[in-house]
Amino acid sequence: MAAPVRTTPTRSGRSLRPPSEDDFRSPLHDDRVVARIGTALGICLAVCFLTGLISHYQQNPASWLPLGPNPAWLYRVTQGTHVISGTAMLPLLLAKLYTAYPRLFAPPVRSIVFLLEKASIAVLIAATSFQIITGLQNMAQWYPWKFSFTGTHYSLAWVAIGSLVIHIAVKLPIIRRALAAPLADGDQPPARYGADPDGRTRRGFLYAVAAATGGIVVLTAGQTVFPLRRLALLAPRRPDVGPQGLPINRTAAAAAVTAALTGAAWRLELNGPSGSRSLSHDELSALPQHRVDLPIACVEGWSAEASWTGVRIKDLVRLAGGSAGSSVRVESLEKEGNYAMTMLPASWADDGRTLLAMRLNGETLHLDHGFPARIIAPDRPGVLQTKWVAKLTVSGKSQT
Amino acid sequence: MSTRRPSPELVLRAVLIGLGALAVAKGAHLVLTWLQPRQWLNVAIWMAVGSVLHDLLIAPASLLLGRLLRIGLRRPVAVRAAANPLRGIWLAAGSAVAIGVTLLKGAELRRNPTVIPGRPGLNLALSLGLVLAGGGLVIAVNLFRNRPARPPAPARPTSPVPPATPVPPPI
Repeated sequence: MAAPVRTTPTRSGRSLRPPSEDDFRSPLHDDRVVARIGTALGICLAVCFLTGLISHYQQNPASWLPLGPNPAWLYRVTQGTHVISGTAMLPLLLAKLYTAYPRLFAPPVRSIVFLLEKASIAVLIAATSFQIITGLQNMAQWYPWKFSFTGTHYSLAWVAIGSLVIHIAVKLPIIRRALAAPLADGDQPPARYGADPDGRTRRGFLYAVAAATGGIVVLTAGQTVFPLRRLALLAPRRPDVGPQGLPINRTAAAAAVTAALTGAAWRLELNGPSGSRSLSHDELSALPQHRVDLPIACVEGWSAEASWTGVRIKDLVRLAGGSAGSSVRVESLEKEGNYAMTMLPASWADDGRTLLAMRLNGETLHLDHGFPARIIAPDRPGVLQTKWVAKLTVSGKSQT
Repeated sequence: MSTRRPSPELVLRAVLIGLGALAVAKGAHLVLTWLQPRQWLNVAIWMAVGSVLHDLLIAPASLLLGRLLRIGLRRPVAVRAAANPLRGIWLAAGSAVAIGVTLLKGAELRRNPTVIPGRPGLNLALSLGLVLAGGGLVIAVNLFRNRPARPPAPARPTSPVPPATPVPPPI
């Protein structure tokens, strides 16, 4: 915010011209500042990418990446970290773009390598800003675009991380030199931009960026970091606000699940190797009940701990004639929607903490939380904790 | 004929460029195969939004503010004390506004009361208040630390020496 740009005509009548790199005089545009902010931004992008991959493979299991129910809090931490690091990238990207802004006015194509470098930076900025902007909009459930968020977010994550790696490779000698150099110029002013003999301006700016980033994180992280919930002024969710003290993502009305579908006539259809049977709510309640304290963690970043009571899925697997190693296909009363049918792999179905829950925090499930019965399992994205369960189909053979 | 072996750093950079290009290609392939062609333009537009906003609006506005600040704060001590905290305020406030406006729009379209509960407009105002208060505090502390040393007080005149009483000459 300090570099003057000479774009106005001078008294000698010189006409307006676009700025050149040499017009910028602030010491903040120095490589040492750009590299330090870039390092923080790169770390956040890498963390965001890796935690995003975990979420992707939770929803699209891959045989080479065996994810399981342990530890129960893992998805809560990885997805919370994903959204926190993504949010932190907003001020970091703004600061990075500001410090590197003069390079936008560098002379045009000098060489093929120069052109490739510029192209990779353009792609990096475009993909990263896309991820941040649309990610924030997704958290607020505001979709002003005409494409699938999930697929595009995943695709452009690869573009962003790939162009980041290229950028690092191209700039590696400069980055190394800039990170190794002290922030103070001493008695050797830099060849370009302004001098900062004692480094106070550059250091102060880095502190300011760190404080701004930390402040934004504190104002948003409360949707998953419970002790910060009262400071979550800029978070789209409060982990303790909602029916039975828990937020909801998809209501029964949105899923077209009515009271008529979930009333006395509701039956759980249980299919398996030993045949099919129907269980009423009362019959399910008569089966051994178990209580577990598990977090529910949404892909949008909020999460909350709750106490769930219901029938163990492993007990229902046995009832249906399945065995250890059986997976379970879960179908909802919801007819449309990406998650109306989900698969519960054997590692979760075998886990004693995976329930067909009928009670939440000591009360009968609220309709919006999935009454009459829903899945709750450790270390699973919220979208896979199927609500309004209508049918369970247990596989006969061992599957993982 | 001697051949120079590439340095380890050069090899590392080449490997990184190769891996990065593979990742970009995978992402581009996913975009082209998962999305319908009519959606590509929309994706491209949203990819350009951030750069256009920054390069044509945010960065010039930041530079202009910096210029105005330098004109307004003529004293170097004040510039030193306030410049970086003001940059931090500008950055945090800009980020807060970006998030807050998104939440305001989301609240308009909210699907259920647990999405963006409370009053996002008030929360944004409170956030900006916190940012200003925090930044203002830092500026105050900086100004206090950098306050110019008091000039030494002018030497107080010492009490006038009474004129020596003429001693009468001995008789």
